[in-house]
Amino acid sequence: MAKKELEIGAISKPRFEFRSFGQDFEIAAYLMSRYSVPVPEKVWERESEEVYILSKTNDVNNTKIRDGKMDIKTFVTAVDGLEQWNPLMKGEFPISAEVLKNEVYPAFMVEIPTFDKDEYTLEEFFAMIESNPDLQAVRVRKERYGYMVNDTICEFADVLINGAHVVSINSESTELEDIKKTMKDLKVEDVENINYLQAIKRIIGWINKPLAN
Amino acid sequence: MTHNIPRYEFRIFGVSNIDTYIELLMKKGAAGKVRHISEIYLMTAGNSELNIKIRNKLLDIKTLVRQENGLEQWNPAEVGTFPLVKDKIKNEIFPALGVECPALDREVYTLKQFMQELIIVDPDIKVALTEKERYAYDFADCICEYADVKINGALQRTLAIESENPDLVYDAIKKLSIGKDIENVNYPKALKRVLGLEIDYDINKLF
Repeated sequence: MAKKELEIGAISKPRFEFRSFGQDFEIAAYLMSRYSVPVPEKVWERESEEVYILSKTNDVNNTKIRDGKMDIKTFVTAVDGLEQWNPLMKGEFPISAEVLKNEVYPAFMVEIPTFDKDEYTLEEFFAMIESNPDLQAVRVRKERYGYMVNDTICEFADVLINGAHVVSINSESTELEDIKKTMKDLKVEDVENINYLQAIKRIIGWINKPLAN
Repeated sequence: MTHNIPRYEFRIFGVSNIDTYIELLMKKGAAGKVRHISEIYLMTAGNSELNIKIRNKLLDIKTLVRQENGLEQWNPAEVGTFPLVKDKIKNEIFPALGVECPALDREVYTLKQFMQELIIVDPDIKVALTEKERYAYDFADCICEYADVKINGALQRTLAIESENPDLVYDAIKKLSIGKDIENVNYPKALKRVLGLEIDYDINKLF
């Protein structure tokens, strides 16, 4: 049975992902650009500014805020070192106390605070994050360059994490074998799979491990 | 870098946004030594006037002596080279960090023991591992440098101007076309921003 082609930006079944962070993925980025089939113009270059909410108490839920909207993904499984994450919730500011209490704070896996209002603006939410020593808001600015290699969605990205620069590469697909072939083609088979949460935690000093290079 | 008279310092951090100033320094200054230096900075949220770092097993603490018209004077002091006796750790290092000193089971700590048993396990202390490529320059009678600095693997660039004479520093700032609105950011402050120990309230500008 022919596999269904991935379409960038389309909703599909959960994808597996390889991603890494470091200072130098020049060769992989070059190979990515050469192996790539043409991709839609809208993904050639994308810029975004986001805030990730990091929790000291878990590595399984990834919370980020972009354009005033909150998006939480949860870790599902890892197969052969490739990770699968599923959407857990999406919300928009101002956000209700009910959602914070029943969905957001449980995802942080920290003690749920007392809510004395019915809804919270983004600024009020950040103030709550700042008051909890187990939580931290981290500013992330991304310049992403999209490609498609071996039917996997790929990107090379310049990322500023709290103002400091790292480079990221990734390949994602519903098909594990396609990602593995892409990793081989891009010569990153032996590079550690580092997701955004891990990279940020390492940079802000919560995890004492180096990036890939 | 130990010297008797504290120099006035002006330093900026950034990424490509400070390249213009660096290029001017490279063009107009006299290039000196290039040094690759690895250092461990010990950071706490409450401390902003002490710069605590370890280089080649030597722990030194720089104290902010004065802030004057946008410049800073720091006074360096060597605490000692590892292995360090517990009294030094208890009476000099932890008070500087501003956090409670844990029970010290050893009489003497190697750097590895100090880091593993006392620092990394303390939730109030964050570690910034830095790798610096420092490019020294003489410029406008000041000691200058620019550097590429990896902070826990993430890169920033920095440019610094130092002199015992504050007027020479102001003159060099002007000659490098660094505007008056550019903030003087010392190492602890820059590291705290990357580590998230100092919150950037401009976070809201993102929305």
